[in-house]
Amino acid sequence: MSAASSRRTAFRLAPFAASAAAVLAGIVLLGSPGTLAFWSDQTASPNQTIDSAAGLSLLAAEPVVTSYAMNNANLVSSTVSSSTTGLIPGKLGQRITYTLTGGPTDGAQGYVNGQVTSSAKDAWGAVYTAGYLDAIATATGMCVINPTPTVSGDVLTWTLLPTQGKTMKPGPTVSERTCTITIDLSLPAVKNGVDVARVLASSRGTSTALKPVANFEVRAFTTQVPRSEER
Amino acid sequence: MTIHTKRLRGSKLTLLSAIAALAVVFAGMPAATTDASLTSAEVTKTGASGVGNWCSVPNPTAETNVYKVSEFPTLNAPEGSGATTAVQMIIVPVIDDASFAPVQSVTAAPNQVGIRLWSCSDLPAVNSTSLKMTSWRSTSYEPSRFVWGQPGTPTVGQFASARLQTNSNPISNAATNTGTVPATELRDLHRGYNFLGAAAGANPQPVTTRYSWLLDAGRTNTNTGADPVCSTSSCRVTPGTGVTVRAASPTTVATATNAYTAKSVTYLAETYGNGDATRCCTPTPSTVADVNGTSAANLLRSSTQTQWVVLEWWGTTPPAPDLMVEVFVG
Repeated sequence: MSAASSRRTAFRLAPFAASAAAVLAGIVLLGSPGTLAFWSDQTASPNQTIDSAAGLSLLAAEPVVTSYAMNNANLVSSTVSSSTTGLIPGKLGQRITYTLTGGPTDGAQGYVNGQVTSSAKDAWGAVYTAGYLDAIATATGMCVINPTPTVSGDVLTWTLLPTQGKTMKPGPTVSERTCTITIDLSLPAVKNGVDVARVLASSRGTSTALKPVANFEVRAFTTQVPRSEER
Repeated sequence: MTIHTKRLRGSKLTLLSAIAALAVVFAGMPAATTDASLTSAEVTKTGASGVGNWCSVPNPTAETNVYKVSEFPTLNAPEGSGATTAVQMIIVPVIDDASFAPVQSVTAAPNQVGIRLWSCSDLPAVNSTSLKMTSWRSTSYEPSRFVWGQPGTPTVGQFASARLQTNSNPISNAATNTGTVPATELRDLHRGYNFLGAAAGANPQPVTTRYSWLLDAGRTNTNTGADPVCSTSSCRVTPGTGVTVRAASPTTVATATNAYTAKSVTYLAETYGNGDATRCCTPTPSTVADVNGTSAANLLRSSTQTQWVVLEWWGTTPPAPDLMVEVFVG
Protein backbone atom coordinates (compact mmCIF):
# COMPACT_ATOMS: atom_id res chain seq x y z
CA MET A 1 0.00 0.00 0.00
CA SER A 2 2.72 2.33 1.05
CA ALA A 3 5.11 1.48 -1.87
CA ALA A 4 2.37 1.71 -4.48
CA SER A 5 1.40 5.06 -3.18
CA SER A 6 4.97 6.30 -3.42
CA ARG A 7 5.30 5.21 -7.07
CA ARG A 8 2.14 7.02 -8.05
CA THR A 9 3.38 10.19 -6.43
CA ALA A 10 6.67 10.12 -8.31
CA PHE A 11 4.83 9.65 -11.56
CA ARG A 12 2.61 12.72 -10.91
CA LEU A 13 5.59 14.95 -10.14
CA ALA A 14 7.43 14.22 -13.39
CA PRO A 15 5.55 16.84 -15.54
CA PHE A 16 6.17 19.54 -12.97
CA ALA A 17 9.85 18.84 -13.01
CA ALA A 18 9.81 19.11 -16.80
CA SER A 19 7.94 22.41 -16.75
CA ALA A 20 10.31 23.84 -14.17
CA ALA A 21 13.19 22.95 -16.48
CA ALA A 22 11.46 24.68 -19.39
CA VAL A 23 10.87 27.78 -17.31
CA LEU A 24 14.52 27.91 -16.37
CA ALA A 25 15.46 27.61 -20.00
CA GLY A 26 13.07 30.46 -20.80
CA ILE A 27 14.70 32.66 -18.21
CA VAL A 28 18.07 32.01 -19.72
CA LEU A 29 16.87 32.70 -23.23
CA LEU A 30 14.87 35.79 -22.44
CA GLY A 31 17.59 37.27 -20.32
CA SER A 32 20.31 37.04 -22.92
CA PRO A 33 21.12 40.15 -24.99
CA GLY A 34 19.76 40.59 -28.50
CA THR A 35 16.66 38.56 -28.10
CA LEU A 36 14.45 41.33 -26.76
CA ALA A 37 14.00 43.42 -29.86
CA PHE A 38 12.29 46.75 -29.74
CA TRP A 39 12.86 49.81 -31.86
CA SER A 40 13.69 53.26 -30.73
CA ASP A 41 15.80 55.95 -32.31
CA GLN A 42 15.83 57.93 -29.14
CA THR A 43 18.60 55.87 -27.68
CA ALA A 44 21.57 54.33 -29.38
CA SER A 45 22.34 50.95 -27.91
CA PRO A 46 24.25 48.19 -29.63
CA ASN A 47 21.34 45.81 -29.79
CA GLN A 48 19.25 48.12 -32.00
CA THR A 49 20.39 46.52 -35.14
CA ILE A 50 17.09 46.75 -36.98
CA ASP A 51 17.11 49.05 -40.01
CA SER A 52 15.72 52.40 -38.94
CA ALA A 53 13.89 52.77 -42.25
CA ALA A 54 11.46 50.21 -41.00
CA GLY A 55 10.85 52.08 -37.71
CA LEU A 56 8.75 55.20 -37.21
CA SER A 57 9.75 58.67 -38.24
CA LEU A 58 8.16 62.09 -38.05
CA LEU A 59 9.05 65.31 -39.79
CA ALA A 60 7.82 68.79 -38.84
CA ALA A 61 7.87 71.57 -41.38
CA GLU A 62 8.60 75.13 -40.34
CA PRO A 63 5.34 76.59 -39.04
CA VAL A 64 3.59 79.04 -41.33
CA VAL A 65 2.05 82.18 -39.87
CA THR A 66 -0.68 83.81 -41.93
CA SER A 67 -3.23 86.57 -41.41
CA TYR A 68 -6.91 86.24 -42.03
CA ALA A 69 -9.70 88.80 -42.12
CA MET A 70 -12.16 88.47 -39.27
CA ASN A 71 -15.74 88.02 -40.35
CA ASN A 72 -17.50 90.40 -37.97
CA ALA A 73 -16.73 93.43 -40.11
CA ASN A 74 -19.99 95.09 -39.16
CA LEU A 75 -18.64 95.59 -35.66
CA VAL A 76 -15.37 97.06 -36.62
CA SER A 77 -15.94 99.93 -38.98
CA SER A 78 -14.35 101.97 -36.23
CA THR A 79 -11.01 100.32 -36.74
CA VAL A 80 -8.76 101.13 -39.61
CA SER A 81 -5.94 98.69 -39.86
CA SER A 82 -2.47 99.90 -40.51
CA SER A 83 -0.65 96.60 -40.34
CA THR A 84 -1.21 93.86 -42.86
CA THR A 85 0.01 91.26 -40.39
CA GLY A 86 -0.37 90.66 -36.71
CA LEU A 87 -3.41 90.74 -34.51
CA ILE A 88 -5.72 93.72 -35.02
CA PRO A 89 -8.90 93.75 -32.94
CA GLY A 90 -11.93 92.97 -35.04
CA LYS A 91 -9.93 93.11 -38.25
CA LEU A 92 -7.09 90.63 -38.53
CA GLY A 93 -6.46 87.29 -36.93
CA GLN A 94 -3.33 85.15 -37.02
CA ARG A 95 -3.12 81.50 -37.94
CA ILE A 96 -0.09 79.40 -37.11
CA THR A 97 0.01 76.18 -39.13
CA TYR A 98 2.18 73.20 -38.24
CA THR A 99 2.55 70.33 -40.67
CA LEU A 100 3.73 66.92 -39.44
CA THR A 101 4.55 64.15 -41.86
CA GLY A 102 5.24 60.48 -41.23
CA GLY A 103 7.82 58.57 -43.24
CA PRO A 104 6.67 56.83 -46.45
CA THR A 105 8.59 53.65 -45.64
CA ASP A 106 7.93 53.47 -41.91
CA GLY A 107 7.50 50.01 -40.50
CA ALA A 108 4.06 50.55 -39.02
CA GLN A 109 1.19 52.97 -38.66
CA GLY A 110 1.70 55.66 -36.04
CA TYR A 111 -0.42 57.56 -33.61
CA VAL A 112 0.52 61.24 -33.24
CA ASN A 113 1.17 62.09 -29.60
CA GLY A 114 2.33 65.29 -27.97
CA GLN A 115 1.02 68.76 -27.29
CA VAL A 116 1.06 72.40 -28.24
CA THR A 117 2.06 74.81 -25.49
CA SER A 118 2.16 78.56 -25.28
CA SER A 119 4.90 80.63 -23.75
CA ALA A 120 3.93 84.18 -22.91
CA LYS A 121 5.65 87.23 -24.33
CA ASP A 122 5.36 90.99 -23.71
CA ALA A 123 1.76 91.51 -24.78
CA TRP A 124 0.35 88.37 -23.18
CA GLY A 125 -0.96 90.12 -20.10
CA ALA A 126 -2.68 92.85 -22.10
CA VAL A 127 -4.38 90.52 -24.53
CA TYR A 128 -4.76 87.11 -22.84
CA THR A 129 -4.77 87.74 -19.11
CA ALA A 130 -7.14 90.65 -19.67
CA GLY A 131 -9.51 88.18 -21.30
CA TYR A 132 -9.52 89.39 -24.89
CA LEU A 133 -7.51 86.79 -26.81
CA ASP A 134 -9.32 83.94 -28.50
CA ALA A 135 -7.04 80.98 -29.20
CA ILE A 136 -8.51 77.98 -31.01
CA ALA A 137 -6.58 74.81 -31.81
CA THR A 138 -7.73 72.47 -34.55
CA ALA A 139 -6.19 69.45 -36.20
CA THR A 140 -6.90 68.02 -39.62
CA GLY A 141 -5.56 64.97 -41.38
CA MET A 142 -4.14 62.08 -39.42
CA CYS A 143 -4.20 63.48 -35.91
CA VAL A 144 -6.65 64.73 -33.32
CA ILE A 145 -6.19 67.55 -30.82
CA ASN A 146 -8.23 68.29 -27.74
CA PRO A 147 -9.74 71.71 -28.52
CA THR A 148 -9.94 72.58 -24.82
CA PRO A 149 -6.55 73.56 -23.49
CA THR A 150 -5.43 73.08 -19.95
CA VAL A 151 -4.38 76.34 -18.36
CA SER A 152 -1.58 76.58 -15.85
CA GLY A 153 -0.59 80.13 -15.11
CA ASP A 154 0.38 81.70 -18.41
CA VAL A 155 0.76 78.36 -20.15
CA LEU A 156 -1.94 76.90 -22.34
CA THR A 157 -1.51 73.26 -23.34
CA TRP A 158 -3.49 71.51 -26.03
CA THR A 159 -2.97 67.74 -26.08
CA LEU A 160 -2.82 65.53 -29.14
CA LEU A 161 -5.09 62.54 -28.69
CA PRO A 162 -4.14 59.19 -30.27
CA THR A 163 -7.38 58.16 -31.95
CA GLN A 164 -8.30 55.06 -33.89
CA GLY A 165 -8.64 55.80 -37.58
CA LYS A 166 -6.45 58.90 -37.33
CA THR A 167 -3.08 57.32 -37.90
CA MET A 168 -0.04 58.07 -40.00
CA LYS A 169 -0.06 55.40 -42.69
CA PRO A 170 3.21 54.71 -44.52
CA GLY A 171 2.96 54.73 -48.25
CA PRO A 172 2.96 56.95 -51.29
CA THR A 173 -0.19 58.89 -50.34
CA VAL A 174 1.11 61.93 -48.47
CA SER A 175 -2.29 62.89 -47.09
CA GLU A 176 -2.48 59.51 -45.35
CA ARG A 177 0.59 60.33 -43.32
CA THR A 178 0.17 64.06 -42.82
CA CYS A 179 -1.25 65.91 -39.86
CA THR A 180 -1.96 69.63 -39.80
CA ILE A 181 -2.37 71.55 -36.57
CA THR A 182 -3.54 75.14 -36.59
CA ILE A 183 -3.69 77.71 -33.83
CA ASP A 184 -6.09 80.54 -34.67
CA LEU A 185 -5.63 83.71 -32.66
CA SER A 186 -7.90 86.72 -32.74
CA LEU A 187 -8.99 89.72 -30.75
CA PRO A 188 -12.58 90.97 -30.89
CA ALA A 189 -13.32 94.64 -31.51
CA VAL A 190 -15.60 94.71 -28.48
CA LYS A 191 -15.82 92.19 -25.67
CA ASN A 192 -18.19 92.36 -22.71
CA GLY A 193 -18.83 96.02 -23.41
CA VAL A 194 -15.14 96.86 -23.55
CA ASP A 195 -13.84 98.69 -26.61
CA VAL A 196 -10.92 96.30 -27.04
CA ALA A 197 -9.48 98.10 -30.05
CA ARG A 198 -9.07 101.29 -28.07
CA VAL A 199 -8.01 99.69 -24.80
CA LEU A 200 -5.26 97.81 -26.55
CA ALA A 201 -4.29 100.71 -28.77
CA SER A 202 -3.36 102.74 -25.72
CA SER A 203 -1.14 99.96 -24.39
CA ARG A 204 0.22 99.03 -27.76
CA GLY A 205 3.25 101.30 -27.82
CA THR A 206 4.67 103.04 -30.85
CA SER A 207 6.90 100.36 -32.30
CA THR A 208 6.15 99.51 -35.88
CA ALA A 209 7.17 95.91 -35.27
CA LEU A 210 4.63 93.39 -34.10
CA LYS A 211 4.45 93.28 -30.33
CA PRO A 212 4.99 89.63 -29.35
CA VAL A 213 2.05 87.90 -27.67
CA ALA A 214 3.27 84.34 -27.29
CA ASN A 215 5.19 81.54 -28.89
CA PHE A 216 3.32 78.36 -29.57
CA GLU A 217 5.44 75.24 -29.56
CA VAL A 218 4.35 71.90 -30.91
CA ARG A 219 6.11 68.81 -29.58
CA ALA A 220 5.05 65.61 -31.25
CA PHE A 221 6.10 62.02 -31.80
CA THR A 222 4.45 58.93 -33.14
CA THR A 223 3.89 55.59 -31.48
CA GLN A 224 3.18 52.35 -33.21
CA VAL A 225 -0.42 51.45 -33.80
CA PRO A 226 -1.10 47.86 -32.68
CA ARG A 227 -2.29 45.65 -35.54
CA SER A 228 -5.63 45.22 -33.85
CA GLU A 229 -6.22 48.98 -33.85
CA GLU A 230 -5.24 49.71 -37.44
CA ARG A 231 -8.01 51.23 -39.49
CA MET B 1 -1.29 6.33 6.39
CA THR B 2 0.74 8.96 8.07
CA ILE B 3 3.63 8.54 5.59
CA HIS B 4 1.22 8.64 2.69
CA THR B 5 -0.15 11.90 3.91
CA LYS B 6 3.36 13.35 4.23
CA ARG B 7 4.21 12.37 0.65
CA LEU B 8 1.09 14.02 -0.67
CA ARG B 9 2.03 17.19 1.17
CA GLY B 10 5.47 17.04 -0.45
CA SER B 11 3.98 16.96 -4.00
CA LYS B 12 1.88 20.05 -3.26
CA LEU B 13 5.03 21.92 -2.23
CA THR B 14 6.68 21.04 -5.56
CA LEU B 15 3.68 22.38 -7.46
CA LEU B 16 3.73 25.62 -5.52
CA SER B 17 7.44 26.13 -6.20
CA ALA B 18 6.85 25.64 -9.93
CA ILE B 19 4.14 28.33 -9.94
CA ALA B 20 6.48 30.63 -8.03
CA ALA B 21 9.18 30.05 -10.62
CA LEU B 22 6.76 31.01 -13.40
CA ALA B 23 5.86 34.18 -11.55
CA VAL B 24 9.53 35.06 -11.34
CA VAL B 25 9.81 34.63 -15.10
CA PHE B 26 6.90 36.94 -15.84
CA ALA B 27 8.09 39.56 -13.39
CA GLY B 28 11.56 39.43 -14.88
CA MET B 29 10.42 40.00 -18.43
CA PRO B 30 10.86 43.60 -19.59
CA ALA B 31 7.60 45.48 -20.19
CA ALA B 32 8.71 46.31 -23.72
CA THR B 33 8.68 42.64 -24.53
CA THR B 34 5.13 42.13 -23.44
CA ASP B 35 3.89 45.28 -25.33
CA ALA B 36 6.49 45.85 -28.00
CA SER B 37 6.00 49.08 -29.98
CA LEU B 38 7.84 51.53 -32.17
CA THR B 39 8.26 55.16 -31.23
CA SER B 40 9.53 57.96 -33.42
CA ALA B 41 11.85 60.71 -32.36
CA GLU B 42 10.12 63.82 -30.97
CA VAL B 43 9.95 66.84 -33.23
CA THR B 44 9.58 70.42 -32.03
CA LYS B 45 8.59 73.56 -33.89
CA THR B 46 7.68 77.02 -32.60
CA GLY B 47 5.50 79.68 -34.20
CA ALA B 48 5.26 83.26 -32.97
CA SER B 49 2.30 85.60 -32.73
CA GLY B 50 2.18 89.33 -32.26
CA VAL B 51 -0.04 92.38 -32.07
CA GLY B 52 -0.09 94.63 -35.11
CA ASN B 53 -0.56 98.35 -35.50
CA TRP B 54 -3.81 100.13 -36.06
CA CYS B 55 -5.70 103.33 -35.57
CA SER B 56 -8.95 103.12 -33.71
CA VAL B 57 -11.90 105.36 -33.04
CA PRO B 58 -14.43 104.76 -30.24
CA ASN B 59 -16.82 101.96 -31.08
CA PRO B 60 -20.52 102.81 -30.73
CA THR B 61 -21.14 99.22 -29.68
CA ALA B 62 -19.15 99.84 -26.52
CA GLU B 63 -19.70 103.57 -26.00
CA THR B 64 -23.33 104.65 -26.17
CA ASN B 65 -22.50 108.37 -26.48
CA VAL B 66 -20.59 107.73 -29.70
CA TYR B 67 -22.64 107.90 -32.87
CA LYS B 68 -21.69 106.70 -36.32
CA VAL B 69 -22.30 109.67 -38.58
CA SER B 70 -22.76 107.68 -41.78
CA GLU B 71 -25.61 105.70 -40.18
CA PHE B 72 -27.81 108.60 -39.15
CA PRO B 73 -31.34 107.91 -40.39
CA THR B 74 -32.51 109.85 -43.40
CA LEU B 75 -35.56 112.06 -43.19
CA ASN B 76 -37.24 114.36 -45.64
CA ALA B 77 -37.15 117.67 -43.84
CA PRO B 78 -39.78 120.21 -44.91
CA GLU B 79 -38.56 123.57 -46.09
CA GLY B 80 -41.87 125.36 -46.61
CA SER B 81 -44.14 125.44 -49.67
CA GLY B 82 -44.28 121.67 -49.57
CA ALA B 83 -40.65 121.21 -50.55
CA THR B 84 -38.48 118.78 -48.62
CA THR B 85 -34.82 117.98 -48.46
CA ALA B 86 -33.25 114.68 -47.51
CA VAL B 87 -31.04 115.05 -44.47
CA GLN B 88 -29.51 112.61 -42.03
CA MET B 89 -30.15 113.49 -38.42
CA ILE B 90 -30.38 112.27 -34.86
CA ILE B 91 -31.57 114.20 -31.78
CA VAL B 92 -30.24 113.16 -28.38
CA PRO B 93 -31.24 114.40 -24.91
CA VAL B 94 -28.06 115.32 -23.02
CA ILE B 95 -27.87 115.37 -19.24
CA ASP B 96 -25.02 115.08 -16.76
CA ASP B 97 -25.24 111.32 -16.35
CA ALA B 98 -22.65 108.56 -16.68
CA SER B 99 -23.60 107.78 -20.24
CA PHE B 100 -22.22 111.12 -21.40
CA ALA B 101 -18.84 110.77 -19.72
CA PRO B 102 -16.05 111.46 -22.23
CA VAL B 103 -14.52 108.26 -23.59
CA GLN B 104 -11.14 109.73 -22.81
CA SER B 105 -10.01 112.85 -21.04
CA VAL B 106 -11.03 116.16 -22.56
CA THR B 107 -10.44 119.77 -21.60
CA ALA B 108 -13.75 121.49 -20.97
CA ALA B 109 -15.51 123.63 -18.37
CA PRO B 110 -17.32 121.65 -15.64
CA ASN B 111 -20.53 120.20 -17.07
CA GLN B 112 -19.89 121.83 -20.43
CA VAL B 113 -21.55 120.11 -23.37
CA GLY B 114 -19.25 119.22 -26.23
CA ILE B 115 -18.72 116.99 -29.21
CA ARG B 116 -15.63 115.25 -30.49
CA LEU B 117 -15.25 114.04 -34.05
CA TRP B 118 -13.16 110.91 -34.47
CA SER B 119 -11.78 109.46 -37.68
CA CYS B 120 -8.76 107.55 -38.84
CA SER B 121 -9.53 107.69 -42.52
CA ASP B 122 -8.11 110.05 -45.00
CA LEU B 123 -11.25 111.92 -45.87
CA PRO B 124 -12.43 112.30 -49.44
CA ALA B 125 -11.18 115.51 -50.99
CA VAL B 126 -14.70 116.75 -51.69
CA ASN B 127 -16.56 119.59 -50.10
CA SER B 128 -20.00 118.44 -51.09
CA THR B 129 -20.96 116.99 -47.73
CA SER B 130 -21.70 119.16 -44.72
CA LEU B 131 -22.04 118.79 -40.98
CA LYS B 132 -24.01 120.90 -38.54
CA MET B 133 -24.31 120.17 -34.86
CA THR B 134 -26.25 122.34 -32.45
CA SER B 135 -27.59 122.14 -28.92
CA TRP B 136 -30.82 123.50 -27.45
CA ARG B 137 -31.99 124.05 -23.91
CA SER B 138 -35.10 122.13 -23.16
CA THR B 139 -38.42 123.78 -22.41
CA SER B 140 -41.74 122.82 -20.91
CA TYR B 141 -42.67 120.32 -23.57
CA GLU B 142 -45.90 118.43 -23.11
CA PRO B 143 -44.69 115.04 -21.80
CA SER B 144 -47.05 113.10 -24.04
CA ARG B 145 -45.54 114.66 -27.17
CA PHE B 146 -42.19 112.91 -26.93
CA VAL B 147 -41.84 110.24 -29.58
CA TRP B 148 -38.81 108.01 -29.17
CA GLY B 149 -37.00 106.06 -31.86
CA GLN B 150 -34.53 103.25 -31.49
CA PRO B 151 -32.80 102.17 -29.37
CA GLY B 152 -35.14 103.32 -26.62
CA THR B 153 -36.60 105.78 -24.17
CA PRO B 154 -34.32 107.70 -21.81
CA THR B 155 -33.55 106.49 -18.31
CA VAL B 156 -31.12 108.34 -16.08
CA GLY B 157 -27.68 106.82 -16.55
CA GLN B 158 -28.52 105.77 -20.10
CA PHE B 159 -29.71 108.98 -21.71
CA ALA B 160 -27.10 108.61 -24.45
CA SER B 161 -29.03 105.63 -25.83
CA ALA B 162 -32.21 107.65 -26.35
CA ARG B 163 -33.18 109.26 -29.67
CA LEU B 164 -36.09 111.42 -30.54
CA GLN B 165 -37.96 110.09 -33.53
CA THR B 166 -37.02 112.59 -36.22
CA ASN B 167 -40.16 112.03 -38.19
CA SER B 168 -41.16 114.44 -40.87
CA ASN B 169 -44.11 116.35 -39.61
CA PRO B 170 -45.11 119.64 -41.21
CA ILE B 171 -42.81 122.48 -40.39
CA SER B 172 -43.56 123.99 -37.03
CA ASN B 173 -44.19 127.69 -37.27
CA ALA B 174 -45.50 128.71 -33.92
CA ALA B 175 -44.09 129.35 -30.51
CA THR B 176 -43.62 126.33 -28.32
CA ASN B 177 -46.88 125.30 -26.79
CA THR B 178 -48.44 122.18 -25.41
CA GLY B 179 -49.02 120.92 -28.93
CA THR B 180 -45.40 121.16 -30.02
CA VAL B 181 -43.76 117.93 -31.06
CA PRO B 182 -40.22 118.27 -29.66
CA ALA B 183 -38.51 116.43 -32.50
CA THR B 184 -40.18 118.60 -35.11
CA GLU B 185 -39.45 121.79 -33.24
CA LEU B 186 -35.80 120.93 -32.62
CA ARG B 187 -35.30 119.80 -36.20
CA ASP B 188 -36.65 123.09 -37.52
CA LEU B 189 -34.82 125.22 -34.97
CA HIS B 190 -31.60 123.47 -35.93
CA ARG B 191 -32.26 124.00 -39.64
CA GLY B 192 -33.25 127.65 -39.18
CA TYR B 193 -36.83 127.20 -40.31
CA ASN B 194 -38.53 128.24 -37.12
CA PHE B 195 -37.48 131.07 -34.88
CA LEU B 196 -40.33 130.61 -32.45
CA GLY B 197 -41.38 134.18 -32.10
CA ALA B 198 -39.90 137.49 -32.97
CA ALA B 199 -37.31 139.56 -31.16
CA ALA B 200 -38.88 141.16 -28.13
CA GLY B 201 -37.46 144.62 -27.70
CA ALA B 202 -34.56 144.68 -25.30
CA ASN B 203 -35.27 141.22 -23.96
CA PRO B 204 -33.07 138.33 -24.96
CA GLN B 205 -34.29 136.71 -28.11
CA PRO B 206 -36.05 133.38 -27.29
CA VAL B 207 -34.17 131.37 -29.89
CA THR B 208 -30.84 132.84 -28.89
CA THR B 209 -31.29 132.00 -25.22
CA ARG B 210 -31.90 128.34 -25.99
CA TYR B 211 -29.26 127.98 -28.68
CA SER B 212 -25.70 126.65 -28.20
CA TRP B 213 -23.42 126.15 -31.17
CA LEU B 214 -21.21 123.13 -31.43
CA LEU B 215 -20.15 122.77 -35.04
CA ASP B 216 -21.38 125.33 -37.51
CA ALA B 217 -20.18 127.87 -40.02
CA GLY B 218 -16.97 129.50 -38.82
CA ARG B 219 -15.66 126.55 -36.85
CA THR B 220 -13.18 124.16 -38.47
CA ASN B 221 -10.63 121.66 -37.27
CA THR B 222 -8.07 124.46 -37.16
CA ASN B 223 -10.43 127.00 -35.58
CA THR B 224 -12.52 124.99 -33.17
CA GLY B 225 -13.68 127.88 -30.98
CA ALA B 226 -15.13 130.38 -33.44
CA ASP B 227 -18.31 132.09 -32.15
CA PRO B 228 -21.04 134.04 -33.93
CA VAL B 229 -21.26 137.71 -33.23
CA CYS B 230 -24.16 139.06 -31.20
CA SER B 231 -23.58 142.57 -29.96
CA THR B 232 -26.77 143.27 -28.07
CA SER B 233 -28.85 141.30 -25.64
CA SER B 234 -31.77 141.32 -28.04
CA CYS B 235 -29.88 140.13 -31.08
CA ARG B 236 -30.89 136.88 -32.65
CA VAL B 237 -28.39 134.09 -33.14
CA THR B 238 -29.55 131.19 -35.23
CA PRO B 239 -27.76 128.23 -36.75
CA GLY B 240 -25.72 128.89 -39.85
CA THR B 241 -24.94 126.93 -42.95
CA GLY B 242 -22.84 124.22 -41.35
CA VAL B 243 -19.30 123.28 -42.25
CA THR B 244 -17.95 120.74 -44.68
CA VAL B 245 -17.01 117.31 -43.43
CA ARG B 246 -13.58 117.86 -44.79
CA ALA B 247 -13.00 121.07 -42.91
CA ALA B 248 -14.48 119.83 -39.65
CA SER B 249 -12.98 116.37 -39.39
CA PRO B 250 -9.77 115.41 -37.66
CA THR B 251 -6.81 116.53 -39.68
CA THR B 252 -5.25 114.07 -42.05
CA VAL B 253 -1.79 115.34 -41.23
CA ALA B 254 -1.31 112.71 -38.55
CA THR B 255 0.08 109.59 -40.11
CA ALA B 256 -2.20 106.61 -40.31
CA THR B 257 0.71 104.22 -40.05
CA ASN B 258 1.21 103.29 -36.44
CA ALA B 259 -1.39 105.85 -35.43
CA TYR B 260 -2.19 103.96 -32.31
CA THR B 261 -3.93 107.00 -30.90
CA ALA B 262 -6.95 107.91 -32.91
CA LYS B 263 -7.32 111.29 -34.46
CA SER B 264 -9.97 113.53 -33.02
CA VAL B 265 -11.04 117.15 -32.87
CA THR B 266 -13.17 118.65 -30.10
CA TYR B 267 -15.82 121.35 -30.36
CA LEU B 268 -17.23 122.77 -27.13
CA ALA B 269 -20.70 124.23 -26.79
CA GLU B 270 -20.88 127.99 -26.32
CA THR B 271 -23.97 130.11 -25.84
CA TYR B 272 -25.23 133.65 -25.40
CA GLY B 273 -27.97 132.64 -23.03
CA ASN B 274 -28.21 130.48 -20.00
CA GLY B 275 -31.78 131.41 -19.31
CA ASP B 276 -30.46 134.59 -17.72
CA ALA B 277 -31.88 137.76 -19.25
CA THR B 278 -28.79 139.77 -18.37
CA ARG B 279 -26.42 137.75 -20.47
CA CYS B 280 -25.26 139.11 -23.74
CA CYS B 281 -22.40 139.88 -25.93
CA THR B 282 -19.87 137.41 -24.59
CA PRO B 283 -20.29 133.74 -25.37
CA THR B 284 -20.08 131.51 -22.33
CA PRO B 285 -19.57 127.75 -21.97
CA SER B 286 -22.89 126.01 -22.37
CA THR B 287 -23.50 123.63 -19.50
CA VAL B 288 -26.11 121.29 -18.05
CA ALA B 289 -26.85 121.41 -14.33
CA ASP B 290 -26.38 118.36 -12.13
CA VAL B 291 -29.18 115.83 -12.31
CA ASN B 292 -29.74 115.93 -8.54
CA GLY B 293 -32.03 112.95 -8.45
CA THR B 294 -34.56 114.45 -10.83
CA SER B 295 -36.75 111.95 -12.65
CA ALA B 296 -36.23 111.35 -16.35
CA ALA B 297 -39.67 112.79 -17.14
CA ASN B 298 -38.86 116.03 -15.34
CA LEU B 299 -35.32 116.23 -16.70
CA LEU B 300 -36.60 116.17 -20.25
CA ARG B 301 -38.51 119.40 -19.62
CA SER B 302 -35.82 121.17 -17.59
CA SER B 303 -34.24 124.22 -19.21
CA THR B 304 -31.13 123.91 -17.06
CA GLN B 305 -30.57 120.18 -16.73
CA THR B 306 -31.22 119.04 -20.28
CA GLN B 307 -29.99 120.14 -23.67
CA TRP B 308 -31.05 118.58 -26.93
CA VAL B 309 -28.16 117.96 -29.25
CA VAL B 310 -29.07 117.82 -32.94
CA LEU B 311 -26.52 116.09 -35.16
CA GLU B 312 -26.92 116.35 -38.92
CA TRP B 313 -25.11 115.71 -42.16
CA TRP B 314 -26.30 116.28 -45.69
CA GLY B 315 -24.80 116.07 -49.14
CA THR B 316 -24.03 113.66 -51.93
CA THR B 317 -21.12 111.75 -50.42
CA PRO B 318 -21.64 109.94 -47.13
CA PRO B 319 -18.99 110.61 -44.51
CA ALA B 320 -16.26 108.01 -44.07
CA PRO B 321 -17.56 104.91 -42.26
CA ASP B 322 -15.24 105.53 -39.34
CA LEU B 323 -16.35 109.12 -38.75
CA MET B 324 -17.80 109.07 -35.25
CA VAL B 325 -19.25 111.89 -33.23
CA GLU B 326 -18.97 111.64 -29.47
CA VAL B 327 -21.32 113.79 -27.39
CA PHE B 328 -20.05 114.42 -23.88
CA VAL B 329 -20.58 116.44 -20.74
CA GLY B 330 -17.23 117.65 -19.45
